[in-house]
Amino acid sequence: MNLSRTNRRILIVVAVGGLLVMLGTLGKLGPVRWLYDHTLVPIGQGFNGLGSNTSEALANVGGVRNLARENVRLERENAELRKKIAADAETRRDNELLRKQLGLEVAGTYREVAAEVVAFQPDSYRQFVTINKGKKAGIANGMAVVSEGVLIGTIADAQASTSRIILVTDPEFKLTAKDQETGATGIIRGQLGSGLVLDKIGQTDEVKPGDTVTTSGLGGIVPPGLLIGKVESVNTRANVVFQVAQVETSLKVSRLRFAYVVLGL
Amino acid sequence: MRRIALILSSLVIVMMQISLLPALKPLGVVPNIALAWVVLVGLEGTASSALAVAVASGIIIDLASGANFGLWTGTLVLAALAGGVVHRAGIELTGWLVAGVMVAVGTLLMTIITLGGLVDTVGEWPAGAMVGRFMTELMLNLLLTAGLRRAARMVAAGPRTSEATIG
Repeated sequence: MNLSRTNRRILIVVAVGGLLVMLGTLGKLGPVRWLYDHTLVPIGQGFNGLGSNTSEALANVGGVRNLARENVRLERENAELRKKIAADAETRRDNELLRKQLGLEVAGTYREVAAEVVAFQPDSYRQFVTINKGKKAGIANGMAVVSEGVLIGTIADAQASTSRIILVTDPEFKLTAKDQETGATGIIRGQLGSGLVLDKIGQTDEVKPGDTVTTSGLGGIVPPGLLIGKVESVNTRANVVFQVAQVETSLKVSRLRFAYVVLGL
Repeated sequence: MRRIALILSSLVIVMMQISLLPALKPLGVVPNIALAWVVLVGLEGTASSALAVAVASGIIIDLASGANFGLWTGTLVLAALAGGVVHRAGIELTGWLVAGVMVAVGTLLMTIITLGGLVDTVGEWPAGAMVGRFMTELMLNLLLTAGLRRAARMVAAGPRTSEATIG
């Protein structure tokens, strides 16, 4: 076949592209990923900062009218939380005393590694972010990631210096969770579009709007007790096996700047 | 000089795709500025430069994306090849219509492939919300295409006869 110089060039570029995609699918793009992690990721941090600040500024301008109402709501919530913290401190002291008396180890706090969000999912349907810490910092696939006290996702793909987090609002996210008030368990999963549902709740289990949803710890990697969100509404029908609850999360993807990977105790 | 300008501008476009635009999310969607750029480089310049931009941009965006690896590279390469076919077919390129149609088809293709990958996972499909999101993204992509046309002409314009053919 007699190809012109131009067509040869085009074929070479397409072949190189195909080869890179094949290597990437097999996870063999190490040198390319190293280059990406050490050159483009730091540049991405700057762009991310600009985007997040702009998004926040626009949201603040739009939210001026609701400030007074929001302020009252937050003051009320603050007072309730302060009462809860005081009660929890008492419970913790009792717990530590009982553990000592029974010869059990005192429960510790989780070790976390802080990371900065450097890239977001570049399309409108999936929910992933990339952080600037990876295996070198002790991060492994499946570990929980929190931000501002709330579970935001788990590590989907840990590389040497960066990691990709699948957010709780991604349609493929799934984790066992429980209603902190009633102990009802279910599977928390992301919804296409936005939002979270707590699915597979037993018909005889009780779940009410306003209940707190936390991780259940089943599976071993994600520790129990990490806050996920609050129940907004419950869908109970007699002709289905499980109940489904809509869960509200305080995660705002566009404002994510920092994330904390939970390494364990 | 023009080649350096094309490389630098393509780099800025890619960084906007993976950092700035997803953080901003105008009207709740992430516009596909990379697709608009590759289509315009292919129409205003040569097929081989568009392909090189498509492969390099696609690989970088695939590294940042959590979806199937190769989705972005494949779609952008197809867009670049389509530009070459358009040149060969002798279609009038001075108007905005050709670029608009190519960007619209590319947007639809990417949406179908992305959502197609979720068929086994998603139980309930909020059809209205998805259509709304697609139409919003399409509108923003077309606006970006119109806005980037002059920039693409400045950095990518090259010989259109012998360089543009495929096959």
